[in-house]
Amino acid sequence: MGEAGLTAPGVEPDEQRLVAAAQRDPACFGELYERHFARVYAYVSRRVARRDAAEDITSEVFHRALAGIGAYEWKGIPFAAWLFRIAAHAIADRGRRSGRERPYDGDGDVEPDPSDPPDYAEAERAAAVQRLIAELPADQQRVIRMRFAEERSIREVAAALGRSEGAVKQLQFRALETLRGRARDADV
Amino acid sequence: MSERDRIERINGCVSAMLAGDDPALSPSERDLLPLLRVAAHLLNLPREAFALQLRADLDARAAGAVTGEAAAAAAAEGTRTRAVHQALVPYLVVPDATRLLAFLRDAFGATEVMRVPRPGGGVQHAEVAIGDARIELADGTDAYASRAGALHLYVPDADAVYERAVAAGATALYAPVDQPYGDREAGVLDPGGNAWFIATRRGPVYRPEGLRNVTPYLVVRDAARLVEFAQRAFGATVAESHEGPPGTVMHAKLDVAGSALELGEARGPFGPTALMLHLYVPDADAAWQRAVEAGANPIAPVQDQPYGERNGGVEDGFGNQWYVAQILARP
Repeated sequence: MGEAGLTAPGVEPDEQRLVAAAQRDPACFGELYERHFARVYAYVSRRVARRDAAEDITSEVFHRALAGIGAYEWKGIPFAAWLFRIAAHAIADRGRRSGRERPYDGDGDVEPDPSDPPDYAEAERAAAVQRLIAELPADQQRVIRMRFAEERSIREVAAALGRSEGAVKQLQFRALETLRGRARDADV
Repeated sequence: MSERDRIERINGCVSAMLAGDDPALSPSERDLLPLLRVAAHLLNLPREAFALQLRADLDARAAGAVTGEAAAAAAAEGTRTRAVHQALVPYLVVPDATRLLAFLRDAFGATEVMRVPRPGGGVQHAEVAIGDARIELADGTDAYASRAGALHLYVPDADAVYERAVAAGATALYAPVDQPYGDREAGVLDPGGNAWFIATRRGPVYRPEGLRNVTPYLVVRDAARLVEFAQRAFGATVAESHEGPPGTVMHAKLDVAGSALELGEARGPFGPTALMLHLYVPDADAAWQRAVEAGANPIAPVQDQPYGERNGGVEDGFGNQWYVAQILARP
């Protein structure tokens, strides 16, 4: 996907069908969730400082989307854009409620602009890179997930995997190299 | 810079980024920048357990989950209503369903969709969601004896789930291994004695297309004959079949009313197993009749049940029990 395609989330193939199915039968919503979870989480997590807040808000976004799926109208507007809009409002609501969370790149202003394209692009890029993790060899995946998702130290990862700290650092390095190469090939 | 230095330097930068600090690179280290950009995209990598849990919560909510007292009250009134989430649902009948519920929650992130308590204690009927799959369970009784089956669980990280399962009280069958068929796979026994094959498919998606997170797995002697039986009795179609010696089936994947069922030949320490299955069909009477004509042993006649479905049971000659059921319209 080129730079132009990244300024707004794209329309996924057969998206219209999936949305219509979920509108008829909420049990079909899971498919939409699987497709959009990574980008929504990436978008939210960039705008709040804490992981637990990112999880709460992401959860809220999808629960709101499920409850309001009937209100989504297909007019060529990507479903992802609709989710981002819900996310932006959920982040703003939470900011107003608690005054605690702050966006990474702001200084206290928690009211995001729902139409801010650079955030979409960054979220899309992060989600695209994160999807590539699944193609790594199993041991590299484990290291990346433990290190970045569970935020464990090299020592903790080494203990959990039964490897030396040096070996874990090397797996981390190889994984980043591979991801970098794949991301470049995929034009992410 | 030597490779060893680069590995150390990248790790130092990653640690700084995870701690919320800016990694400062000197001009001579500019070639490390592309790797740090990738690392920056991973900084907020979601926890897999969270993603799975949220999916389960959404599925439960989409299915109109009812729990606790509301479920018991609805069941008592005979007006329990629910959508059929998947046509073929494994039903685990175990000596201690309460313990198994706790295990499934701790080990596999299962969320409780429904629990109908047994008067005087225990679990009369419960349903959990694991990812996008449903499992039912109950305490064994004289009428419904405890049994031990096998299930195939696909997760994004089989190693982590295996560790969690063992920590939650599972008995290890085998630690995670890379199987020649492309899965990283481990095996455990849950506290009720059911075998779980915990797997992660290598590649862009962690599970094969068309499979839910959990698929019932029948381990039997003479799997080829069970395949034929399932075709005749339940209209199953063969999605995949791997033959062993002529006339034998080592592993097969069937489609039963739109749900996947796997089965395999008992060998080594595994099996044969005996699972109970709940199969939702449009017409329970016709399905029961067809199964019996195909050679199944009747174990329970088809009748209306107080919990809003009409069902009857047969045994397939391999030790597995099948309850064919149709949802009754609300009175």
